[in-house]
Amino acid sequence: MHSASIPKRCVQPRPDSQPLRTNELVHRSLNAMGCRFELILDPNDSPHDRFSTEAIADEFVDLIQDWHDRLSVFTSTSIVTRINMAPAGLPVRVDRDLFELLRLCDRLCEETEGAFNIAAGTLMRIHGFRDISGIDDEHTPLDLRHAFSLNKESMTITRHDERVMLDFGAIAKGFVLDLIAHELREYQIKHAFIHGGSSSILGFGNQEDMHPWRVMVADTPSLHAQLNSISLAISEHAGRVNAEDRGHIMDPRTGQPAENQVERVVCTHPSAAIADAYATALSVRPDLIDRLHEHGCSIAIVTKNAEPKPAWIRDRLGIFSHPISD
Amino acid sequence: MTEVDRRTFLSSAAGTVAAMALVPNLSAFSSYSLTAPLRVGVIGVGRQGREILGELTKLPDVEVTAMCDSDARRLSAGLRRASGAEGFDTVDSLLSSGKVDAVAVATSTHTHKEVALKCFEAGLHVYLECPLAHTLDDCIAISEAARSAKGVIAAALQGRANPVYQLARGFYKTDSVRDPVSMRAQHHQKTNWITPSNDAARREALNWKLDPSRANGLAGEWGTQQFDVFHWYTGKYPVKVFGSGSVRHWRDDRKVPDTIACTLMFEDGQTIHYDATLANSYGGTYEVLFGSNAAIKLGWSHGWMFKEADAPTQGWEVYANRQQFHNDEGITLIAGATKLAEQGKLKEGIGLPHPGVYYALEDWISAIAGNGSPACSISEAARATAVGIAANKAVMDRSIVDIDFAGL
Repeated sequence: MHSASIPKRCVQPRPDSQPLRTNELVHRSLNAMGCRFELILDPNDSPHDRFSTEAIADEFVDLIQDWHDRLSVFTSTSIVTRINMAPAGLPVRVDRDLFELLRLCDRLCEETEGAFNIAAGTLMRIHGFRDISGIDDEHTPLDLRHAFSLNKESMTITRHDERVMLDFGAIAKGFVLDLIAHELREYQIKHAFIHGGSSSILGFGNQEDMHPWRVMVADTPSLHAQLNSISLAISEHAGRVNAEDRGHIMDPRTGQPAENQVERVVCTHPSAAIADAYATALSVRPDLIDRLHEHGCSIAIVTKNAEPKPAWIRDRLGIFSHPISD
Repeated sequence: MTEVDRRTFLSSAAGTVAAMALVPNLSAFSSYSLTAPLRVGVIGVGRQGREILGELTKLPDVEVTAMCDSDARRLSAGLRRASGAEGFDTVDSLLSSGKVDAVAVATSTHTHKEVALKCFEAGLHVYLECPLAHTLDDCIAISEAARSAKGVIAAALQGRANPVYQLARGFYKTDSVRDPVSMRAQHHQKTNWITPSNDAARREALNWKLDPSRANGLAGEWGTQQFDVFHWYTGKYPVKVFGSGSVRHWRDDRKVPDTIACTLMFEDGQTIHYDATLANSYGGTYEVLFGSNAAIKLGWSHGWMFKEADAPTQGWEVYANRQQFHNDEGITLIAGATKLAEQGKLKEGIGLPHPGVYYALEDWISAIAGNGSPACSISEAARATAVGIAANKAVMDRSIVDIDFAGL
């Protein structure tokens, strides 16, 4: 879903800023992970000319597509499908990159007391958001907090229950943005703006006017964020609903779609993956706002039918501009 | 071809669209049995090497135990994709490690001869990327050495192992297509072929494709793969080629054209029309064989047959799955349709689930397991590469070149 306002060139210029010299920027877009990714790379201040920067952008497109293929639960040949189809109790060996992602997800699950949980994919299927067949036994309790275990020595993951279905949908976009951020540093590209579905956003360096990349959150006109090597994630309850008109954000604690007053969560963090995960967690558990704020992010929670109130903003880093006042 | 129980088939077809299978079960393409896990090394973990790595990890009873690249950054990226594999910075150190039974060679084209000969000498099974080499002399050397190699040696001309291409070839050889008329192919992909690097020396080493002394341009790198499809289908090789090329978009002072066109001519007057460009992606990559009864279009993951209005209708066609392309209706060629129909997944089965390199690797592993010879031998690949080399010369000289198969 498209929550951030991303106009034609992916950045909405402030009225008092200079227009972008878009003829020097390198632009790419692709459909992956159920959304549209857009990339803008600026070759200025880097060791690369425009042609080399174009090649770097192509590498990023390949990277996104590669992880889409690896993480998709809709593809029979993806590594995630292979994990989900393996018999419970059987360790499945994965590569280092994926293992690190799994460890990150495990850690984030602990940090958010289970509000973020990649095993919530199980609930997505049960509640009709995944047209994937599986074993139906909803009567036996399912412990999603301990749905799988990881073995660092053998680099394996073992599901503990046949019904468990891993789904990286709440973190995948942010994860690839982090990989891209790493490559941007390796290539010494200083300025770039990349987003996935307007809800996972990386503002790397500055816009051409040397100001941070500025993003306005759609439907929340008073909320702007300034991103300078910071990522922003938006989690929104509105959008996909199942046949019973219930939303797609699952509460792993109850096993049901989350039902609270939260309409939208905006979360920033240096890591796009963590921003994604925290935004999802706060959609389920808005009471975690103070704890997660301590972990280096700025947070704004919008409740239904309202602009974000000061009580629902945590912004020690000063990422948000135009602070809301009563 | 497998007999189809039409009543059973129709009972599982959905709605008004039905499809038909005249091929063996797709799982037949993936069955092999190894007595022990096969330890495979990958030599060269650039873009192609990493793709090979990814597909090897999908194959049962295959373990990637080692990889090699002289570029530290690439080696590091490759190692992250195969847990448990050991990294080496030279081919010699990998070969002497005792950690592999087989190797996939995906180094730059101009280094294939040096690497391949060492691997043959080591007695390993070898999967060698194509084009085989960038010069005819290297092709001959590789071809001769492969003849006395102990292991199973396969060339990575992917069309021959592709299930859709195998299915379509069966049709090509029947009255469905009838008299061959002409052939054409294209490779369109907008990309600049540059491999970026912060370091000038490394950049020079990585960008061999843009150096005419180390590579054979689009005709060599892509044309070889696609020309081979025609060789395989027709059983013939062209004898002359005319070419031309220019830089249409990537004006960075490159010496290798980003857009080319070739006409390859056979002894009997038949032709292949080929064009390739790095400046536009429309249409992608495909081959077409035109016949007096039908045309077959092959798009690597998909295949279609377009019947002429006056071509006789065969019974199975009535129930075939079709796709509309503007004014043309194509019968979809679905590999493994029988099994998919039994599972009620026929509509999902349009298009292969894996990329072409997967099937080529699987074919090689299957041959190692004792199931016959690889779909593409080194000698066939050498002839295909010779065609690619000649086509590139024609492009660079804007001339007609005789295709030389001497020594092959």
